[in-house]
Amino acid sequence: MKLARVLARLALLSLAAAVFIVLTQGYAGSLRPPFMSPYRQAARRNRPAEPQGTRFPSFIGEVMALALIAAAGRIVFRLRLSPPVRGEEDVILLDLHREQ
Amino acid sequence: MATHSVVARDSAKPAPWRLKITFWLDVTLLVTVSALETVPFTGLVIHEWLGLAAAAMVFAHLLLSWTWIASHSRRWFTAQSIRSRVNYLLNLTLFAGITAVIFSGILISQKAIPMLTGTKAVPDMDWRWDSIHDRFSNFVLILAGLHLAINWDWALAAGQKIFRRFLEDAL
Repeated sequence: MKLARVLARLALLSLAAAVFIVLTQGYAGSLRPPFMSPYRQAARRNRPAEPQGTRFPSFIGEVMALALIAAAGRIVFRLRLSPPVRGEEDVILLDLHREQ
Repeated sequence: MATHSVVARDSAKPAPWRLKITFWLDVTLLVTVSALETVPFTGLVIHEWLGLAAAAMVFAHLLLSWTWIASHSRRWFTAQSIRSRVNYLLNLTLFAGITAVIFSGILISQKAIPMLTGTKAVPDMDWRWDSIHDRFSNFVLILAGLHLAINWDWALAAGQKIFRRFLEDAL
């Protein structure tokens, strides 16, 4: 029973993924060449097959980029999406009354 | 996905093992996304296998968050907070982005997919799909960061709960 439920959920997720794949294919079809500059093409063609330990700092750079985006997003979401604290709202209201 | 309290994320009282699995899966996913962005560090072979593993991890992540997905999908047309709607759209866009990255990655695969299917890798790169893979991977990194940001309270509470329990057991 539980397995059937998991399989049904997986099927739903796969269906949603299939919809996004169709949309991606549509987007790919709308692209016109050149898709990438020759310099970038050369860089991508020469990517190493084996891991390179010397490139560890670039991995740390990506982790830091992710952390920075998360921190920036945290500030924005906190400022824009969090409801005001009830106590603060009351204080503002009281101030307004006093001014009137 | 998104709620503020650890207990309310998926069910009324999740089992400790479920919380642990969810937390460590999410941490692994974040590290994996960062590693997938640095192909020279991982190398192309590990990059492709890690990408396929990430696809499985994303599905597991979504299955573990199913209650949230189902309830928010049902409530989409009813009155909801802006935060809830932004979170839902963010998650949906992230899923779309990840799907695009995985699909384009499969199409341009030089090592893993040819090995799995027993076919020969295409000698020339498909630059159309390669550019899509490149663009969407950057997009996914940004959305993953925002996903972490909007679920920060949950991640922090889950981390505190897990590490507190770990410290209590150790001492």
